Amino acid sequence: MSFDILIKATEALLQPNILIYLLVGVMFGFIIGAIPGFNDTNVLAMLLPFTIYFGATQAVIFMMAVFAGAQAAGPIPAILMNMPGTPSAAACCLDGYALTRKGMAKKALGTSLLGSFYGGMFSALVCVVLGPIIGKYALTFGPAEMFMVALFGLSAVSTLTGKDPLKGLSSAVFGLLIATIGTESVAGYQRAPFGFYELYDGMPLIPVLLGIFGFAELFDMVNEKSIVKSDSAVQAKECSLWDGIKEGMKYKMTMFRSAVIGVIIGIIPGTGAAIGSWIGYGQAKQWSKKPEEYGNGSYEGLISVSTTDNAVTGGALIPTITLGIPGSGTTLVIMTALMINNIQPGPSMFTEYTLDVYMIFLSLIVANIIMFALGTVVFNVFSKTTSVPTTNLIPVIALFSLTGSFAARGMFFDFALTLLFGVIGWLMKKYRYSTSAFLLSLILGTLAENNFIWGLKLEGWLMFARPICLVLALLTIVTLFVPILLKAKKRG
Amino acid sequence: MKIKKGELIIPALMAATTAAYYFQVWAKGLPYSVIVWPIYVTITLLILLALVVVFYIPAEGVSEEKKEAKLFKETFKKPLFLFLTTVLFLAIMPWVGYTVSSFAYLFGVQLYLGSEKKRAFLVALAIAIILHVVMVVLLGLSVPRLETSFFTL
Repeated sequence: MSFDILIKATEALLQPNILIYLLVGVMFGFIIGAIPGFNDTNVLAMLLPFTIYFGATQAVIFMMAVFAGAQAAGPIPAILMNMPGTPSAAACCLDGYALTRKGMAKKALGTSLLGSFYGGMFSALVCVVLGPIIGKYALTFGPAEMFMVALFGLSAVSTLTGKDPLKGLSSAVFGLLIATIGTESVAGYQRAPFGFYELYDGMPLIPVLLGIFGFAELFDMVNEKSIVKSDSAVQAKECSLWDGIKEGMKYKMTMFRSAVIGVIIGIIPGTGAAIGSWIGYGQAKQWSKKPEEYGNGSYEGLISVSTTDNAVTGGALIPTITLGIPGSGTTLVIMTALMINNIQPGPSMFTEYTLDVYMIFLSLIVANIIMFALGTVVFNVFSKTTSVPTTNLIPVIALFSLTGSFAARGMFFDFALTLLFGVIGWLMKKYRYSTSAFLLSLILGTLAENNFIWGLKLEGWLMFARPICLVLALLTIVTLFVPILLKAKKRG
Repeated sequence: MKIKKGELIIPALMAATTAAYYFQVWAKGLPYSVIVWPIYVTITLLILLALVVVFYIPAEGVSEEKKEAKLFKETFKKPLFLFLTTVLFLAIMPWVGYTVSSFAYLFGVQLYLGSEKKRAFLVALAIAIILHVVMVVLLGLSVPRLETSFFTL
C-alpha cells in the first residue's frame, strides 16, 4: 500500500458528488435499519439496476453507506420498543430496552451510536491497512472451522441462561431443534415443515425475532400507561444522548474486543452480523466485571452489541473485494453491483483498480463520520417515541411488527408466525425461560449442523485436528472457563 | 402431590412440538442419516425437560404461584383482547385489504385501551396512510388489497 494512492483516493472521495452519495446513503440506511423487517440486503438488491447509472465505485460507496447506516439504526427500535430493526440488533433488546424502561432511552441510544461508530471505524481501518493480507485467510475456513465458529458462538449460551440454568439450556436446545426444521442440506429431504411450504427454507428468522421480542413485550405493556416505568420518569428528562456517549467511553476494552470479533465474523463467509452480535454480547458478558447487570440495563452489554454489529460491515467487505467471496448477504449485492459494471472482484482488483479499491475502503471511514454526526440529531428525534402513551403506541408497534415480518418474505404466513412466537415468547418470559438462548441457538443451529455433517463427510473426526480448528477450540474453552476461574480466584 | 401447573406449560409445549416433529419424520420415513443431528438434540432436550419437571414442578412455592395466578387473572383481559383482535385483524385482512384492516385494528385497539376517540382516529388514519404509501405504493409489497369495481385500496 503506497501513501500516494491513499492521498489520491482521499482526494477523489472528498469530491462533493461522492460526499452527497455518502450522506444520502447513510440517511437511507437509517430509514431502512429503523423499520423492522426491512433489511439492507433486500433494499439494496432492489437498487441494483440503478447502479449502472451511478458507476461502479460510486454505487459501491453508496451501498456501503447504506450498510453502515442500517447497522447503526437497527438498534433504535430495539432500544425504544424491544422490536429489533434488523436481525443483528436483536441482542440490543436485552439491555437497550431495559434501559428505556428505566427512563434512559436517550443515554442508551448515545451508547449504541458510539458503539456503532467505533465498530465501523475500526473495521474500516482494518480494511485499509490489513485488508489485502487477512483476506487470504478467509479461504482457509472449511466446514470444520465453520463448525467451531458456531460452537464458539454457542458457548455464549452459558452466559444467556439467566437465573435458571436448566430452563435456559432447555430453551437453547429447543432452539437447536427448531433450527432443523426445513430442507436438510445434504440430501435435500424436508424435515418436519408441519405441512407448510413456507417452512421449507427453515424457520424464518425475522418473524420469530419480531414475535419473541416485539410482540411478546406488548402483552405485558398493555397493562401499563407508559413504556418508561413511572418511578423513572424524572431520570428520563435528565439524561441526554451525550451522557450515553460519555458512558460508552468507559468500556474501551469491551469495544475493542467486540470490534475484533465483528471484523473476524465479517471476514468469514456465510456468517454475518446477526451471528456476530450474539457472539460479541456473550463474550462481553463472559469477561465482564458486572455480568449480573447484563439483561437488566447494562451499558457495557449494549455497546458490545452495537460495536460488533457495525464492525461486521468492514470485515465483510474484505473477502468481497480481495477474493471475490462475499462475507454477507449485503456484500453479495455489493459484489453484484461491481460485476454489473464489468469489474470482477478478486485479487486482480488490487492491481487493476487500486484507486477504486482504496476509495471504497476509505468511504467506510467517511460514512461512519457522517453516520455519527447525523446520528446525534436523528437518534434524539427517535427518542421522543418513549413519551407517547402506550394506548396509542401498542397497536402501532403491533402493526409494525406484523408488517415487518411480512415485508421480509412477502408471505401471509409470517403474520401468523409472528403472533404465534409473540405468545410463545411471552410465556417463556413469564416462566423465566431464556428467549435469548433460544434465538442464539436458532441462528447458529443450521450453521453448526451443516458444517458438522459436511466436515465429517469430508475428513471424518480428523477435521478437528486442523490448526485453525484447534485454535478455535482452545478459544472456546478459554472463554468458557477462564472468566469463571478468575472470579473464583478473586473471591479467594 | 401438589404441582405448579403453570410451570408445565413450556415443557409441555416443547414436548408437543418434539412429538409433532418426529411424527412427521416417521410419516415421511426419512432415512436415519438425515436425522442424526436432530436425534442428538432431542435426546439432550428430553433429558433437560425431565430435569425441569423434577426441579420446578413439585409443590414447593405453590402459594407463590397462587399469588401469581391471582395477579394473572386480574391482568389477563387486555393481553387476551390484543391477541384476539390481532387474530381477527389477520382473519379479515384477505377480505377488506391490508390498509382498511390496519386502520380498523389501530383504531379499535386504541379505543379499547382508553385512548381519546379523536386522537385514536387521527393516529390510526395517519399510520394507515403512511403504511399504505410505503408498503403498497413505494415498495409494491403484495399485501392483500381491497378490490372494488371503482377502486383498489
